[in-house]
Amino acid sequence: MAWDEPTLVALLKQGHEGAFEELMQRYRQKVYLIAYGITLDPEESRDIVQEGFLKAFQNISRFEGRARLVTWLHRITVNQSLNWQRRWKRRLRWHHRPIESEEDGESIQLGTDEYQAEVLHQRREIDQAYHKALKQLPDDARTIYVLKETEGLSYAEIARILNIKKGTVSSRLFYARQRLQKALKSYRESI
Amino acid sequence: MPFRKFSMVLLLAAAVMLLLPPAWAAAQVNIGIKTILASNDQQYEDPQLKGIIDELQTVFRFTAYRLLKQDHLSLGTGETGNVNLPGGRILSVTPTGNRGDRTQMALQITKQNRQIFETHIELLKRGTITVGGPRHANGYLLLNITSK
Amino acid sequence: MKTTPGNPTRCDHEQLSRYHDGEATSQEIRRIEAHLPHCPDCRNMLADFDRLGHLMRSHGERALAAADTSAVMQRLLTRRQQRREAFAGWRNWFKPARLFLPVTVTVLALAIYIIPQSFKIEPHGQAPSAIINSFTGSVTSVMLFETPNTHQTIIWFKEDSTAKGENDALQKI
Repeated sequence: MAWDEPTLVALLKQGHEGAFEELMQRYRQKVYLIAYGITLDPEESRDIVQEGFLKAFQNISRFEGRARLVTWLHRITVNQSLNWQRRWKRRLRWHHRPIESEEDGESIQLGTDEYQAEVLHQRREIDQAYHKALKQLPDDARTIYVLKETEGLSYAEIARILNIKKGTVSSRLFYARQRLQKALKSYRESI
Repeated sequence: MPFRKFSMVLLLAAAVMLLLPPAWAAAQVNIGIKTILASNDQQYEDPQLKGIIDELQTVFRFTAYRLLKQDHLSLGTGETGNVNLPGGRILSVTPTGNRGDRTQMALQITKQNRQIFETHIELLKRGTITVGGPRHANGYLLLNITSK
Repeated sequence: MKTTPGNPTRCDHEQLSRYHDGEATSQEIRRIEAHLPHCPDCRNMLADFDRLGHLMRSHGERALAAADTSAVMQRLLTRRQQRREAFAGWRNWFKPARLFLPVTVTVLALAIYIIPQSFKIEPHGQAPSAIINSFTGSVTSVMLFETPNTHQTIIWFKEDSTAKGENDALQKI
């Protein structure tokens, strides 16, 4: 179903289930990418996707159409993700740590004939270093960086979502880049 | 109202049945073992492994999964059951006790009387563990072990 | 801020960051484009911004590939459907005759152990299928995994292929 945005919004306000499904189908990946970029936790990001869409559906009547629907979803996702960061929700999780611990939940290509231990090892090192560097950024800087690099939003759009000045977006983004650059200096040639 | 009273009695009976421990759960441990050959030399998904392959593919990237054999063991605590595996290997399973809703067991793989691998696990009732991967033919063996 | 020899234009890395994002003013763009040919540091920095951005996107995409957001969507739709169905029929259940039949069926099902067999813990939040207390053997490596959907435990080991096979690794988790 290829509804344009005004039609989709109207149907959502009527409680149309197909419209809800369409909303999730269109934006679930974007929402996940933002949630994961901010929380760096795959399980929590899945929860945030779920709760984010529930919240969107419950509050669609308040959406006035002044911004794009995706911007509104961005705002909901960012708020949920930052709330999670602030609450530092601790859940009892059964967690087996593999001997070669990996943080990003990536599947390893086991048993393939082209298994290249060296390449995989280096790639994982860079990934882990990047993940660590991202985690060490302050929440606001990481959020701005994620919105810029994964969603390609303009400074004005980011400023609107976070309710801050454009100048703050510029300085925090630059700060994030400086920190990441420093953390990954030794991997520069391999990236 | 008579219907309501009868319904309440039935509900009470249901509650009692749920609270009583099932009689057959005490003594024997029933274990199913599927010996699977996983490889990348062809594209094949054994229809007998439907449901298992999707789960395995979240971790592995093999293109072919073939069920080589299926075995069933019914063992008491402390009793060891053996399953012959390809390549002259033997899988030995020994339930050692219970902890809550988990069965404690020892799994051992030997080859020509030499111990390759041994692990002590606590497997959820109706849970599955997959152990891999000894090399065999053009691929690897995966042992899909389920407590029934 | 630093000045590169032979080029009076100063390096301003924050301005460079804005230039990279297409957010610099026209005056800033003119300055930077006059400066860049003379400053390898700034050119390298721009390339770094690109590389870091690419890393961010591929890091996110790898996480997304492992995430199965369609399962999340399905779960949500099922939850909403169940809520709607539960709400829709609630009034009818107050009639005694209607209450009798489903209660009887439920009890019969319990009597033949349907509920114990089908009572499964929901995948989300479930403990792993197996807890590994120890392992030992002639192996060179062992890895433990837990599948994301059903939390099935997977142990993957690599046999020690040396003749004696005496590489014994006892690990307690």
